[in-house]
Amino acid sequence: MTRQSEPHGRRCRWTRKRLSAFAGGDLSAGGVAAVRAHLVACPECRCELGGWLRARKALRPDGLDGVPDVDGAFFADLHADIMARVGEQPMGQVAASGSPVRRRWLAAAAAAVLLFAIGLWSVQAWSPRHGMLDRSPMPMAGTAGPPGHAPGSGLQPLGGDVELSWDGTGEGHGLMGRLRLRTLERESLRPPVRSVGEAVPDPEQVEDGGLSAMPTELPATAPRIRPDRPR
Amino acid sequence: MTQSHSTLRTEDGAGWGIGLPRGLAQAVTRLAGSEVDDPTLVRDALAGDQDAFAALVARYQKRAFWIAFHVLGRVEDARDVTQEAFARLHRSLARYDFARSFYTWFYRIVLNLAIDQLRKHKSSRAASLEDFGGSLPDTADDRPPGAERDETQGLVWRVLDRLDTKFRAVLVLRDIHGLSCREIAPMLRVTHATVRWRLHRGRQMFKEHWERAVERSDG
Repeated sequence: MTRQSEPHGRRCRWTRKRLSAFAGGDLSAGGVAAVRAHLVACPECRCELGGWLRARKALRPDGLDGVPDVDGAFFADLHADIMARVGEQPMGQVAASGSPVRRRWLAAAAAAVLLFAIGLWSVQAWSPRHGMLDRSPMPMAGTAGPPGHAPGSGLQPLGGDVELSWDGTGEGHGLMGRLRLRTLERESLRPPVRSVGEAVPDPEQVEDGGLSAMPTELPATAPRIRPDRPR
Repeated sequence: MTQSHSTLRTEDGAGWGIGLPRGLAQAVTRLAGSEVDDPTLVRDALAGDQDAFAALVARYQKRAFWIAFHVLGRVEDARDVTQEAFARLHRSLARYDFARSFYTWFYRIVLNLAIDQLRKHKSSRAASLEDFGGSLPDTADDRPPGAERDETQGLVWRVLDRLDTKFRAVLVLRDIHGLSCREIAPMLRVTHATVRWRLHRGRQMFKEHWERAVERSDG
């Protein structure tokens, strides 16, 4: 359907949407021609255009620039005042060091990065292989719990015989406490260290296969081992 | 773009150097009125040539003042904003990007300062009528010559004052100062499409308020 055959209301709506730009001189050449063609045939839209033109006329620069006492002498004084003012300040002062707001933001960002780096370093430096986040769960040793208590109630952390307390030496508290605890874990997981002259028993040489060395009373939670069953 | 604008300023720049010492006035008039482009003046100013900066002031002070005035509506406020804008320009001249238009950059400084000032004194528009010759006369017979125009101007300021700052800034720059939407967009740090939309909405609101104000004043 061409524009010429469009219903009158639709053409008016199309034109009125463009009247502001038409009055302001912001419409393309094609748009101007189309709006003009419609205005010739539509008195309502011409009336509407009159309102736009009156509003635009009110904003004419020559109508708003007529202010008393703003003349050549006013601008000469303004020029002199500006030059006197800028003469008191060095040129490019802000450009050399950045604006105060920018400086403040840069300082805050640098401080945040520094704090983060120090925190990361303090965690990683003490334990390079076991960071705070990837630390394995604490190993637990099973012991028989008190009678009448649920199984597992007697579980204790390995190395739990060391009492951690705040004694003013820096150990057993905060980061140092965690460090000490981690050291204890590692020590408790190591095989027992024997002295140089001590003989190491060979399990095959022992008659009962080393079963006699086992504790006679196993904890309730410990797995049962059958001696007659080859492993 | 800069060059054509410089030429435009040359045409309405009669009287540059008035009130300055004779030697400086001659230098400023020569630089401000000549075809020396803005980047050259900025380079010279950065090299320590105070005459070059004086020429920049002479070239742009009128436009800066009128932009500030059309946003603020008060001569004293516009004057303060103009002074402050040139002081900031002087401090941050080394930050000027020579690949961009100087006046777009400078007008943005002026406009931002004017908008900040406007937000501070949003409700002071009524007092600005004193800039147009004091109180308005009651009857047409008592009106001195030019009073009708003053009244119309007062009405325009009141209507402009009803507009939101972002619409008003676009309206001032486009309809009063004749800058194109493409020039206004970088000044306001918005897209070209946003400028066009704000212009359309601003004109629409101005027209509605204007028609109502005229009806009230006629009635």
